[in-house]
Amino acid sequence: MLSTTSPEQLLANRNNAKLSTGPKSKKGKQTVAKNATSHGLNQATCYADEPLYSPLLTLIHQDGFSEDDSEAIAQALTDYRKVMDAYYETYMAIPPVDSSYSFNPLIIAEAIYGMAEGARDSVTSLEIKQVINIINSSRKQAQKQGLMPMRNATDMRRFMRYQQKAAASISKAICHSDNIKPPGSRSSLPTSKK
Amino acid sequence: MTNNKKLKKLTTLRTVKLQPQHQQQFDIVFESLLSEMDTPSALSVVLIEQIAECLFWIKQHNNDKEEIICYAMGEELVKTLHFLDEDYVEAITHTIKQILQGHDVKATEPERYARFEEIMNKRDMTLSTLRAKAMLARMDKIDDLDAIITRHIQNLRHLQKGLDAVDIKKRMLKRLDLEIQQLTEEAKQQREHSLEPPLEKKADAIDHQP
Repeated sequence: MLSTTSPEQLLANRNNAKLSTGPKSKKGKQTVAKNATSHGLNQATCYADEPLYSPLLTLIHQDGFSEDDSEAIAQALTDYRKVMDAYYETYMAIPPVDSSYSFNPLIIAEAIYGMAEGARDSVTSLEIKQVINIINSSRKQAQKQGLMPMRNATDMRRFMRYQQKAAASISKAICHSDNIKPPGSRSSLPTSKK
Repeated sequence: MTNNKKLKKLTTLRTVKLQPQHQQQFDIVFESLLSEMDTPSALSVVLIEQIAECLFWIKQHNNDKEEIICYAMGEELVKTLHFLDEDYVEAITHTIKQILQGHDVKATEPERYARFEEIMNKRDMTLSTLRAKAMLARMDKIDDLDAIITRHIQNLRHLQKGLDAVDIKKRMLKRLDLEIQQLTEEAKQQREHSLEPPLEKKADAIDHQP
């Protein structure tokens, strides 16, 4: 639908919005604090607040690892889970393609003419052209992006570097713990000094 | 370890939570991997769970890739239309998918198959040339998915390295136990042996007497 707001009204709205001091309630403040957060993987993790961390720590410690090693492994696993959970959430949250983009622009133009018949102000051909252009560009964009799996492919790439870091830190934490060294890094027999 | 104990560990250590439509698929992979382990420790179970998740993602993204190719094949066939008729593309994609999966579309849906064949003949295309064209058209997306799949394989390698390390510790302990047992037995035998020689020496002495 075409906007009916006058330029003066638009300016007044913008000026009024500048006077706003933001949310006042605690809940509102908490909500706006997450405004710019898309997945939160760049934030430092507070392990004490992570529900998975302490059960993991206990279980790994029970497996015979020292306290420091258990902590390192549990932290690495918690970080990895955070990345993979965000990955799954993003994968499932990608919306399907809007079917309105598949309409023929000519049909849309006819529909706008039809709607304008009973309206007080008639719709000019320029306005219809503008609407068609907007729909056309959205359609082209949608066509370029393709179906859900195609969107997935683009959206999931940004998680790769987080996965790389998290997965490497797991193997590092385990292999560098006491009594465990990566195979081939040291021999089981002490070497004699020459 | 008995099956009950394994299942008990499974319920207490669940770190991967997926939606029901994916959970079942994941559980099958996870349980089959777990059944290959003799005595998995808590950390091993967690690592196996992450490995199963990697395998799940590799399979999922491979399916996505196939879906992209099928859809692109449909797009290639209806390219002459001046607007994107998604319903039509999807109908064609469905037919292509069924043909690629080996269904006898000619027998089950002759009308649809005839329409599909007509378009193919008009374009002078075979399924393989159409697939090649579709892959070229959506190469960027396929490349993206390939990179993601490679990442999951590398994740899997890291996790496998960790699992091997945990296993090596276990194996080392087992080996040390066996070595201790062997040394104890040897010591026992030697002690028994050390008690016997004087008699043997005596006997020898008698035998060698001129």
